[in-house]
Amino acid sequence: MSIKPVYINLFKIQLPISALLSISHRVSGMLIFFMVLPFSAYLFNILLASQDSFGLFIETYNSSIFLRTFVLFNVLIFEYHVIAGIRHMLMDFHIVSETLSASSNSALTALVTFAAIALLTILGLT
Amino acid sequence: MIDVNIYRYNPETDKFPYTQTYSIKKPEKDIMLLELLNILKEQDSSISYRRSCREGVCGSDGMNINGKNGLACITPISQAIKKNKIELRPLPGLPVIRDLVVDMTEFYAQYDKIKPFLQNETEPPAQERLQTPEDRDKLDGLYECILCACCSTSCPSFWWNPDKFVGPAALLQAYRFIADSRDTKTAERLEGLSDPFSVYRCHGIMNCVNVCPKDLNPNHAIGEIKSMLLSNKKKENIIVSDGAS
Repeated sequence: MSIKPVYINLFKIQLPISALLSISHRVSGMLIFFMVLPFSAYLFNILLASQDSFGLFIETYNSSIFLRTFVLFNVLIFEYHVIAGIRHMLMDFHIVSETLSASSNSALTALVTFAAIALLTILGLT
Repeated sequence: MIDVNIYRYNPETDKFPYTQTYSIKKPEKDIMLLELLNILKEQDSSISYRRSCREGVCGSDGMNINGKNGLACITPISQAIKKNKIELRPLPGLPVIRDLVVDMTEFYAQYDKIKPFLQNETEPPAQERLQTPEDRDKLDGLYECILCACCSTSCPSFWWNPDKFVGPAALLQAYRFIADSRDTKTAERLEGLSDPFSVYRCHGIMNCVNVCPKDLNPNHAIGEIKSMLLSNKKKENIIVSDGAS
């Protein structure tokens, strides 16, 4: 017997904003585990190793746009994960009611909050 | 003229599925999508889809309409049409038998798992087991499910784990019996759902609520089940710690 095809086309299937927030929350969680945490541990190690290494890092950070962007990217991922996570917990504890409109509105609120915090972070770090 | 783009697959002749576009004169009346499919079937009798009651009660004609699951018989074409085009696909995540007909074995297996019947081992009364109006009200929004599978097949968790995650439709039914005052197997029912997959794969993305043609809220039922599982665990811990002390 041949294998039956299964239709799943993520570009065609409509997902509500709460779904996009939830999926991106998981992706950001994976990025934190595989990228942000190891990078932060490495950075922490460099910064605390000696005064010289601290100075060298600050010098490189100020001169390299690539490093500054990468650090900013890491911070933004972490912020996004925390904000989307708080919304998730509010829903799990039934503080945000489990209706489609409440879910969409809370997802939108989380995105606007993230945009505001991201803007402050970008202004603060650059 | 409107273009109706349909997912086609015939296991006897096709190696892979493909899509076929039919151009059809836009009907004067705002007919339901199922009627449109019936007109198309007169043109091409090989188009396959399930249908029965044609009034949103049997749940046979669940399909993916322009990216959103729904019942063709209660979806007017004015609602389905986008840029003069209607794209019809089978319900996502389930194996396709032919065209828009999917194999619902996995879906029914999950429904079977939650034991969708009243369990009460006490002596039955002479006439019937009575309920207070308040207890009966708790079943509203739960018993109306027609098992069309629109919700479960729009859930990414069900796509990835159709054998382990019970899915929104069956969980709604599980809660229907958990919430029923006449059912005495609540603890056993909750125990059967307490593994990491059955309920906890739901991350509340709300697509089930978004697509349900009967406007039900499986996400709320799942939230209630999660809360009951949590309070049950708390009670168990209290009993265990009391026993230890």
